Amino acid sequence: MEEINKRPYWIQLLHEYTIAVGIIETLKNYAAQSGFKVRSFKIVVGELSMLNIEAIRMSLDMLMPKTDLNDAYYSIECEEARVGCGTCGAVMTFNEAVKELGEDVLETIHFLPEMLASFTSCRVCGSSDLRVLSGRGVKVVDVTAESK
Amino acid sequence: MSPQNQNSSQFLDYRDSLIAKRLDEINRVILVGSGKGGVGKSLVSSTMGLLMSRSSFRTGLLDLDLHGPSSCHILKLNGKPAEEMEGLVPPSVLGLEVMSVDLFAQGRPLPLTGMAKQEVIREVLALTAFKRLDYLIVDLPPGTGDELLTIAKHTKTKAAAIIVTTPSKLSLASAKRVSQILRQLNIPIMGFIINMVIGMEDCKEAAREAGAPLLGTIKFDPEIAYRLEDLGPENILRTRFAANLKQILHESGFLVEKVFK
Repeated sequence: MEEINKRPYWIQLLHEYTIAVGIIETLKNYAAQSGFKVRSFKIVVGELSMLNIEAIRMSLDMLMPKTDLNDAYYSIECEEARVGCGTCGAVMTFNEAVKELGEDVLETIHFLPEMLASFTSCRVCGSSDLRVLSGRGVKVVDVTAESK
Repeated sequence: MSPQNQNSSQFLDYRDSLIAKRLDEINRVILVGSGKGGVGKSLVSSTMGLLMSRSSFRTGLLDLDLHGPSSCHILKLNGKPAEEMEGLVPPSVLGLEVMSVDLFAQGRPLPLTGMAKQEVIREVLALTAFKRLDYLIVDLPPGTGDELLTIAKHTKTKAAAIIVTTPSKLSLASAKRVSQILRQLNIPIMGFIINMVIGMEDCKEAAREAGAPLLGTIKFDPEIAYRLEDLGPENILRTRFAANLKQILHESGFLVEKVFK
């Protein structure tokens, strides 16, 4: 996580901004389909995505006042990454999985977490059959809404 | 009256909205599939992309052959997509915008199970910021797996398919299976392109038996078969293969308006 955060702040913000736009669009669609107004929601950010939570928060705070979500409350929580080996069954933490990977590779995983398997292998048996068990991307959960 | 409350226990995938927004910027999606590998599907996709781009169509190429991506190799593309405010901006060659996992993997293998493939495809669709396009050509892996099913689900309303095969009975039989699945998915099939034709095979009849119209045939081109490594995009457009394909595209209404009308 530290290594990826060496990227200039404005570069980190770009991907997070795109995601914030997606989150808002998703909630707007949810509201439109249900006919309810969104009151609160939670964003779960997978550790493997190495997203900058402050940058997501900043983007949401910038975008939300211009929408129907203007008075919605949200929280952001990080989901720990677990990477399993499809060959021997070993499970690695985020730090074990990304150990020894360079900044360039971390940036790729930041966009496409499953690509981890292209660049590293199981610490126990050496297999590259690595599967992301948790902590891969961004989820919007626990949406509460009420009639307008 | 007190307000009614609604709590959603399901999780909402932010990518669905982004994908829908991206697809709003694309007029038509052409899925290029095949039953078997090695029939020239990626070369058809890449060359078609170059030809369309050269004909002033705003064209993108999305390589979804996650296990054997070859468009970067064919088009001699390297360098990652640029990260911009809109998303990942794909590099372009002769005006053709190209997105492939190989731009990230740089020739390394990508071991993925079914669900992981779906995740990668959804992520790529959500993050790739093609410019406004007339056509997005999707180079699919052979068969009827996650890649075809996932992209078909997202692009259903604006997609049509071309199936590439060789004249061999085995290849045609597999192509027929792909066309059956596409029909079940309600994806219009523009037709078959029969590649690597050597003799006087009755391709029209073969395509009819396989259940789709014949768009055209491409003769076996030794320059493509033995020198593709050295060619690069400019020279690919000078091959007999490209001339054949160009003729097929012209004859089929350059390209798909007939199918969509």
